[in-house]
Amino acid sequence: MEPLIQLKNIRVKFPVKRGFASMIAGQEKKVVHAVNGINLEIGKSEIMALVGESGSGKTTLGKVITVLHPKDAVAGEIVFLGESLWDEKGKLKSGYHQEVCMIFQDPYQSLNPKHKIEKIVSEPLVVNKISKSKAVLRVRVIQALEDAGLVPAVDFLDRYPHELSGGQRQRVVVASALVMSPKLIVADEPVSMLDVSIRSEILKLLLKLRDEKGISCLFITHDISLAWAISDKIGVMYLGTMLEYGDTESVIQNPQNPYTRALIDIMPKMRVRKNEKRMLLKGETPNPIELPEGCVFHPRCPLAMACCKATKPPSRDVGNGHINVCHLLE
Amino acid sequence: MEKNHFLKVFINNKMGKVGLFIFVAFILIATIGPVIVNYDPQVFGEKADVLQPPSRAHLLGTDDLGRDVLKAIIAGSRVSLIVGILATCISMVIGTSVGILSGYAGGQVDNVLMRLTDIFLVLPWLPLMLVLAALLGASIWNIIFVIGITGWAGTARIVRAQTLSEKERQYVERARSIGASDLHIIWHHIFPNVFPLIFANTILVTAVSILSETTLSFLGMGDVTRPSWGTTLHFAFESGALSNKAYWYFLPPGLCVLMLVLSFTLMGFALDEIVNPKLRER
Repeated sequence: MEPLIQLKNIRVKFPVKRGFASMIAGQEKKVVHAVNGINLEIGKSEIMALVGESGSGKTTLGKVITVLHPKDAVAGEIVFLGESLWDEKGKLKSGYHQEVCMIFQDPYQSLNPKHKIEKIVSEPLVVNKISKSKAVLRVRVIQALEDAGLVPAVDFLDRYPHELSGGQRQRVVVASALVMSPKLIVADEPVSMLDVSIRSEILKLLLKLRDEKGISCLFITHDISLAWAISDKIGVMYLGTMLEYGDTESVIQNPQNPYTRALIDIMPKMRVRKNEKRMLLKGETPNPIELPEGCVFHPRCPLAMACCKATKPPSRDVGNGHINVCHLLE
Repeated sequence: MEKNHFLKVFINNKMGKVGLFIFVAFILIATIGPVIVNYDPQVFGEKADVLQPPSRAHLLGTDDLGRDVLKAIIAGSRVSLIVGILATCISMVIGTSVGILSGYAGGQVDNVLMRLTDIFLVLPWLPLMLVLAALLGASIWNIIFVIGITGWAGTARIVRAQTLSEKERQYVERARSIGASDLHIIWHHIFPNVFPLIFANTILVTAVSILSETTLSFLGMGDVTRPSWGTTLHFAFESGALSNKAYWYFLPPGLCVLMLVLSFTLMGFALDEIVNPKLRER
């Protein structure tokens, strides 16, 4: 089956602002390597989870898909439904913003406090000039609010964001994504700011949207157990690189990469055997301005070998599209 | 709900209440007053009326040309208010546009606009106004223009700072992710959230504008056919009212300026307390 969206060798670099002194000293312009050559495919009605710790570039990658970065920062190719996202003149495919929506992490920040819910949810329709008739807009807004689980929807139209709870706000954000009937939702840590009791509701909502409307989702999270619960596929990112990628069950049950193993080992368990060895990481993610040579993970990898420092590991299919990027299996 | 809250804090604030009261009083004088008293600065009084102290016929006495001072002040209130408010409008439009544009666009645009703002900030505004007013000639519209064009720099700075913080908000990014244009984002997301600040600033700038108008008129740059309080002060000074101890001539216009500026300043501080959470009384 043709994938919904394909990312091919995506690289994102952000220039670091130089101080006046270093400019005079003629120091080289520094660059943050946020994403380094990522290939990714999201199928139709598929939830793909991106997992990784802070600074791994997963949000940056999400914003690549929603075209939120300045154009010169992003290199690589994006193919959406078989067509390249930009034409030869570098113009964005028309209607793309209607197909792909983003849900942000903090529902307290992502709604304009000055706008009523109706205005917030209808904004994508107005911006994309779908309709000018208030009645038409209202029908679609009510439909979207109901799809997002805010019933009775009419009661919410005239409210302001500060009158709603965190869970309700996140549903409003989801509704304002749904109102365009998108094909893909990029959800950037959509539940990390919510109470645990409300999390499952939002997760269920995303699953329901996939099952009933066939909406794909790129689910960005730092919590691998959350990814396990919701996703069909998992990509494990570290320092802008994809280290392991494959079907969720395969990656969780049979992790190949030491980094994935470490992430799985820190998941809380009901019972820990006394002699069980956990792989725990030490230190912090290296500076993305100067990436480590060889495998990006080698400075923290407990199983690092000499070749990890020297050469980039190859990516290898270990079966069923489960891809691992590591020297270990050689 | 939000608007009621706004009004409530304003009324509950002592400074705001007093300021609003004085302001409303002057508005009433300026709107109704000139209709009742019918003052013409061209018509001089009898010789016996020259520089008379307050009496029943002339409640605030007469000036050196035998004209009624009270009438002059009532007529002047309209000029002072109109000049102050219109000049402020010009300042606000320039200041807000420059501030939002500069903060939102960033980069070179920001650099150029902010250096321009810096120039207007550090220019000694009084000599500049005097030169401009002298060049353009003494008319009420020129004075409005001159005051308006010299008073926007502070506003631009404040608006830029707020815009810088607004444009990084997540709802701006959300708007961008659905394909909103820059104009849409500025009009629907940035401006409404910067507006309370602009409003509070407007009132403080009005106080400065009125004071500037008085200063210019006092220095003789005013429109003599439409005398403001500053013009009255100018003539009082010229005719030696101070050395003649004709207090009824120079004291009332001075006090009026003082009261009006005070009322705007009080309202401005009160509003500042509302829109600036750091200053809000707990």
